[in-house]
Amino acid sequence: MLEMTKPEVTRRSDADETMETALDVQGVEVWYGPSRAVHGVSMQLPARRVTAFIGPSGCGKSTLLRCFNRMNELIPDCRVTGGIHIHGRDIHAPGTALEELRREVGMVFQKSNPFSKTIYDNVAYGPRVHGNKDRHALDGLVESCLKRVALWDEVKDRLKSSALDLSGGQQQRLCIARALAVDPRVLLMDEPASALDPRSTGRIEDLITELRDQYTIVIVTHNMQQAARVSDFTAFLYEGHLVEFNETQRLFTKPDHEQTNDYITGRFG
Amino acid sequence: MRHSANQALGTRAGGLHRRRLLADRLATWLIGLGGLSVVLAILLIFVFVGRVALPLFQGSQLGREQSVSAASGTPMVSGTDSYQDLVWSLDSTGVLHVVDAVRGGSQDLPLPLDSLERVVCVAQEGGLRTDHLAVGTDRGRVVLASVRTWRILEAATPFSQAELELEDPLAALDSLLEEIPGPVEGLAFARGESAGLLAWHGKGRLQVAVEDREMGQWSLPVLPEGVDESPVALAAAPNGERLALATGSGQLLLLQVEDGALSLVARQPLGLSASPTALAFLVGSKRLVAGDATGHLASLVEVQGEAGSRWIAAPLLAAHAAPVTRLVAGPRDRTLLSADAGGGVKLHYATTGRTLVEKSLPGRHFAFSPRGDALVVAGRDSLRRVELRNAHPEISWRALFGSLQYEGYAAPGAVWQSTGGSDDFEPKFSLLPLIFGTLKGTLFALLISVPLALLGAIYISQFAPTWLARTVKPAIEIMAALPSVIIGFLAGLVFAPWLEEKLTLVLSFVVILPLLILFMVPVWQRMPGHKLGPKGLPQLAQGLVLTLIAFLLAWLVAPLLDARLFGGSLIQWLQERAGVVYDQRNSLVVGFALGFAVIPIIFTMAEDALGNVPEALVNASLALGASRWTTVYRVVLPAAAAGVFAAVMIGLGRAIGETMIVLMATGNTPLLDPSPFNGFRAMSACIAVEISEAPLGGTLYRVLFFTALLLFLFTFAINSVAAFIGESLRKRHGRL
Repeated sequence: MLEMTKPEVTRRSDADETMETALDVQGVEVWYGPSRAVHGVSMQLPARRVTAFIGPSGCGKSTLLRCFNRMNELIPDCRVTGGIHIHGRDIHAPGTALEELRREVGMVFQKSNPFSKTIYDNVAYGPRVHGNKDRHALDGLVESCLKRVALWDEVKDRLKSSALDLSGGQQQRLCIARALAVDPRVLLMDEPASALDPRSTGRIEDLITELRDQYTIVIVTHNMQQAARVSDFTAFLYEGHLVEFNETQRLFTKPDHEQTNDYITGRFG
Repeated sequence: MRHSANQALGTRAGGLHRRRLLADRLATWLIGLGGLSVVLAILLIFVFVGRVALPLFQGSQLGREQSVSAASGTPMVSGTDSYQDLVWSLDSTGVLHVVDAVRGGSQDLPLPLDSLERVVCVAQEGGLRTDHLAVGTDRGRVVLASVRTWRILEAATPFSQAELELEDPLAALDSLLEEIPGPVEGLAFARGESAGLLAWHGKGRLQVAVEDREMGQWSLPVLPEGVDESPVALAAAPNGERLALATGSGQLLLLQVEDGALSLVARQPLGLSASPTALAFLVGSKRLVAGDATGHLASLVEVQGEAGSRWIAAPLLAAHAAPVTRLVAGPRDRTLLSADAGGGVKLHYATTGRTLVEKSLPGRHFAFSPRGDALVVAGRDSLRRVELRNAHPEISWRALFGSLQYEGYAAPGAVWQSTGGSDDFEPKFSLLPLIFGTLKGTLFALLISVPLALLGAIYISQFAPTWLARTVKPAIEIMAALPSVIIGFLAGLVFAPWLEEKLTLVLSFVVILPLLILFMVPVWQRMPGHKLGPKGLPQLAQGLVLTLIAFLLAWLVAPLLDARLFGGSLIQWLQERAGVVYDQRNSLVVGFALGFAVIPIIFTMAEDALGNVPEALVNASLALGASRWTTVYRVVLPAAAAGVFAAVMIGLGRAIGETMIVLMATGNTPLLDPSPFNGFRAMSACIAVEISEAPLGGTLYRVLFFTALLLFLFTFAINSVAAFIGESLRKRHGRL
């Protein structure tokens, strides 16, 4: 079956530290006009762990992910019901500042989307938007963020050149650095490596592994091997329903549900 | 079998391939041809317009010189008819030699002088068919004669004939003539529409006779006190109402005829260092030029001062190296011929001070042909006719783009006034008021349209709900389809009177609305349960409510302002307190109307540019916690900068070229005044208004084409700058 490439996963999930819940999802439903895309999903995503959402195309995994930073509200006719608490705070509570929520819950998109600005300005964009105008502090922040995504050595001599000159994989890592620059607690990744070549994909996966200590990461992927490689927990969604949410190792080796087993063994998908 | 099938397939595919190739080539060729012909058409228009305008700058030349006859005797005066068929000169024995330049041969017409009586000076007043001559003799007699010419058109080669007509208007005044016992030393003669004037002097006696042309009667007015009766030069104004005298000390005396009486209206230095030798009025009777013994020329112009008119120094005319012997005013415009003792001849244009022609042309007497297209030069040994190409003497760069002292104006100015009530009108072709008008109209239009169109485009592309965007966009696009005649018509006939009535209301609304928005937004945000955004009162409704409130406030405040602050009427208050004149059709009206025409262009293009910014970038920014507005400001606008800039530039180009709106909504007054409350004349409107009145090939016609050329260059420059800046913006922010 699937080979577990990261032994730490097992070690960490076995650790007896009490797992703090980062995202508490209670009966979330998402409607696009009259049609329901997500049906009453409830789960608790642990803090500082990587959780992967898997499932066939159109199963609602991206939609569910976009609920966590309320990006779904940008879509006309989209309606989200149910409760989502992030570190205990109801994200739908009246008076919630979207800006603050999204600062706390960063997002990386499927297709890298750097601004047509310089590499430096791309990373500094978030902090600047949130009022950090201190040149010196920004310099340090940009450097540390780029180092964290292992891009620093590649771009440190051309921080002032356009971000669009970077390769696809570099651009995606830049986007991750950009998301990290506002110091989020949760990082949502919507198929971050699906548009990349295998080598770049590998680097992104390594990066996720490195970031798991500090961030709660939720990653949507259609690539089961990837989920198995990088995540601690995996949720399997099918036609808008959460079929199974489990430790990754368990879900891929001994799933509780027959449907999960069918999917991971490739009987449908 | 299989092989042949393959072959059949191959040939079929080959045929298809060939046909595709052909269609492809044909399309490429057609499209190339289309593009090329557009470029060619624009280039041709440019060349055509340029060719019509070019002669303005070709200057004046003296052309072919034709010796008509060897003169006999000393020529005192010469001339030609308007067809230049006949060239004539009068010698000192009083014989008029008329030379037929078409058929050859000549005719001598003698003046009735005594056998030993000699002509000593002649004053000439040219006309299209008749030259009036005043001939003074060494016996102190003045004879009035006219050379009348007419053309025989029935002949195979049309030719002209001349006759000498004598007038003896002074017979009734005969007794007075005896008072000049010696030869006539100086003579001035002019006939205007209603008055004629004849002045002569000799032996320290100055005699002035004036003619009432309606009654056909001559009279001898009394000379005012203090008039020097032995001037060194004298000239009569073409209108027959003015006499200028130059004294040996360089003083100018101006006498005015009014109701048959003479009055001294000016006595001032001519501004010459040596003794004056010649004096001449130019067409229009408001310019005067004097020449002196050192070859210098002084030009004077009548201007409007606070206490009536006065004469001031006009542009300097180029000096001669030798004493000035003769000044001859051109028959149709402010061209002046000056000749010196060394045989040098210069043609000047008095308004601009420009020297048109400079040539050595020895002769005793010079005359312009009646149409100003030739010179007659009479020397002791020859009578010559010289072609003169002097079609646009009034044009110089200074006349087009600088300021000049025009006749009757208080100060030098840049004036556009192409036609006047009379033939002797001084045309003023400064393009500055037109360029200024175009820029002013464009500025006001952009002031109104750019903020509205851009904010509208940002709202519709970034904030508005889909249903609204789907409704508003086509609606605004339909605005662009509205013919500009209708916009101009509504603006001029409906909006302008309304604005005049409700000026205070409109202005206070314009002030109140932004203030109200600035005030309400923080208040709204602090109100519990309300927030700006889709959940509270929809943004659109908020905007509408604010607009309504602002209008109500303005409606309430305007009458108060009018009554308390402006004493009843803002327009009157402006005029009395600030000295600002309010025209009904003013720049504000044009700004609104032209803005209305430009809004759809800017809006549509800017909306497209903003809407084309990839959703991914917007999402990236929003996901980083940027607000909607921050995203627009920091991500969307920079990314769409090239398109938005292009939109504004295209709007600018449209506003500059727009004709009907500015034509109908302004008073078309060519003013150089930045006040928003008066009108202007734009280049485009000026062309539209005046081209139909401009004689083909005339100066006005060519100046209007030159204006068109400028307009063309304006829009060309704007588009080039737009393309250039757009390209660099695209390089910086683009590559999406």
